[in-house]
Amino acid sequence: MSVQGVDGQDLGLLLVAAQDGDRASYAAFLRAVLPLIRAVGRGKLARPADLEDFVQDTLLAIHQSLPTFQPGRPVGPWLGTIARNRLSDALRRTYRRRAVETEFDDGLADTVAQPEADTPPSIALGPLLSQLPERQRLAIDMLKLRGMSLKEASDASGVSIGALKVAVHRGIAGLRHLLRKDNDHG
Amino acid sequence: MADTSHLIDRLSSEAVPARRLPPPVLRLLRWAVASLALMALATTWHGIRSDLGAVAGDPAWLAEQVLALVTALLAGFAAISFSVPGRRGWERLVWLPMAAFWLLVMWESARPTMETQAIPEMAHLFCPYCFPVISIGSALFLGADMRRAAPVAPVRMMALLLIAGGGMAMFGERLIHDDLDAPLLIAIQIVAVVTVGALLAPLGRVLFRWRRPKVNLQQKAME
Repeated sequence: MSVQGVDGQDLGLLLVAAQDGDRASYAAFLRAVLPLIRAVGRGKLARPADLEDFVQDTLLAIHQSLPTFQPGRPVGPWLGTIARNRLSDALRRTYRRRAVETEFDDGLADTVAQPEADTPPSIALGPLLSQLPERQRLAIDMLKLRGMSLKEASDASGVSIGALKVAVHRGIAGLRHLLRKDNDHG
Repeated sequence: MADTSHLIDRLSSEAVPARRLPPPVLRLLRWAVASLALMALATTWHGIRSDLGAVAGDPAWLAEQVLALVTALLAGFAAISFSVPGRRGWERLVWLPMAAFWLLVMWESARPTMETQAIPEMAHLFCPYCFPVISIGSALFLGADMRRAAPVAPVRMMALLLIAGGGMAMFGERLIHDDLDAPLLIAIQIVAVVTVGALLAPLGRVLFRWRRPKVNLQQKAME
């Protein structure tokens, strides 16, 4: 087994050093096995987010299994068993989620003829947006006004994709509420 | 990707010298000693069977006891091997031929007198005190050891844990009682232990779980 110039024997040495508490070796070991772990999950987990969850889950499992590695034994089967175990759990979670969720295809709307859009009434959103909580305003600004993708917005803000979706949803509900209130007051 | 890198940094920064688990054979020996000590404790309370000296000279009885002990030890070894990632396949299956052989021997021994023997009632199948004490105690020793390892096959680990505990109890109660030697009874006991092991195996998902140590994904996502 060879990963980015690190062969199985080197991985074994790094892992034994990690067991002895050597932090640099542990970090090097975890980084060296990342491509191996990804290779186990790739092709089975379609969504990149699921693959990344699986990789992180496997890293945590390796952390827990650290005392079980016997020096001198091959690292490949040890790592492979842990990764396959975490993969089967990840697949189980994915199937369970698929049973209750429908994937939204962003491209679907582009394939359907859209009615002529009415010219939207011009509304000054600025004052309304400023009344929203910081997190919701930021999410609407990045995703709806600046047109960033969820991934880009998540990378830029450091907020997870799930949290961004929730913030946008709540922000739009808040704006709707504010608009209604605005109309009621003339 | 940024999250994964961050997780690696967190895990490696928290690395401390790990208490390496001993090799499976050593863990098995430790479990066997603990189980035998439990049996010794049970004999001090219940007493050893009065004819132990006589039956110990009977090769058939000795062979049956050896089969019981070896099957229990091999099932324990298989359970321990399942808890260590990357062990060889034969280590996990080695108990199966031994259990089948033991069952076959008991069945063949019981066959000639089968028609004259009545199927024992459930209440007389096991000693209601010795069997639970030895089997549960011994399974708890093994379970405690396995919980320190990796739960890569929790269901099979649980099944083998129960079979090992049951086998150990079958060996132990024959040192204490002189009315549990009938081959048919032993054959039924073997089937009962394996069946209970298979039925309760799903509990392994509760007993053997991946822990979320100091670092967890939710905590990481919030940062």
